[in-house]
Amino acid sequence: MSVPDTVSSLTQDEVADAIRSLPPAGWARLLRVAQTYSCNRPIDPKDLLQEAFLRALGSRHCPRDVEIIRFLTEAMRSIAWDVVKEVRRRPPPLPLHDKSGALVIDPPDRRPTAEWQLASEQEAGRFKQAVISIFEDDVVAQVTVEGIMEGMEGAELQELTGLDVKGLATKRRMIRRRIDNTFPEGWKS
Amino acid sequence: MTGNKMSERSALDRLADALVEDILEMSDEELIEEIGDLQEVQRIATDTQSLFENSVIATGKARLAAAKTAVTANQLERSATVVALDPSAARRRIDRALASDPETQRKLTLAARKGEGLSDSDIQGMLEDLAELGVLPDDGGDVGA
Repeated sequence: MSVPDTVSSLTQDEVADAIRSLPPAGWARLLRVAQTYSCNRPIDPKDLLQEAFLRALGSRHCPRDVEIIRFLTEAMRSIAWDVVKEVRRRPPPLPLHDKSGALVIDPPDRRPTAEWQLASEQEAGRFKQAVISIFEDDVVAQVTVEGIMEGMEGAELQELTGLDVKGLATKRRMIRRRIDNTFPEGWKS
Repeated sequence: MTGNKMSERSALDRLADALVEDILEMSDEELIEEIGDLQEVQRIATDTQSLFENSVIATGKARLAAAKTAVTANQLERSATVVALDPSAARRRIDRALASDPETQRKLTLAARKGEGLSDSDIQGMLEDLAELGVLPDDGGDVGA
């Protein structure tokens, strides 16, 4: 673990104090972020948030000019991304018995194959299409979702959708609420 | 717009980032309104605080375990230094240690102070004890002597 620079970063006690001083809405906001980042990922929202707390109190350093919620959000994002990378490296568990019921003595090669990685990508593709399909009654929302998925933001997204800054923010909120309502437990295959 | 099959995961990641940005930009009042009522927000906050306090405890335990490991490693290192001495070098080292620490010297019996009537293993044990107490000076070249 590297030694934190306490001039530019919060000490671990300061991190703990900053988290403890969050208002009730701040705690609820953290859980919302965890639910969003754990969606379609093999990690429970509370596990994701707890892991972020552990890293915030340990290996990660919070710059003094970064709000504690932003800092924890970035930690959750990083953990959630790593979870997917790890799963891609590790194929699903093999059955202990073969089709005849006999114990598998010599299991096949466990290294991830291109097929396994493709299957993981196809699973993400199915979720992506499922998300897009819930906006079939709202063309602007659907175009906004697709634009965001393509990496558009700001002026580029406004140009694509024909919305101004406020209109885009309103549309994005509507999109989030509809996704939350449609997949309250996230997308689990 | 959705044709690139090998970037499906990245597309979902970008959407998640945008949705999270919206969550961060909401005011507390908007968030409370979205959740339903203040009581429910309070319940979520209590649960999440509990999660955090568990993390604090886990971090404390991990630090304690790391500290214990470091102390054990340090003790092993000191013992290794002591074990490297032959019996006569060990006795010379005891003499030097006692000469440099009158307080410890007063607490030992006359026989122990002079190393008389003590077996080699007694001497070895004394060295280890003194090393633990931090009163053992540098070996002064006695190692392997």
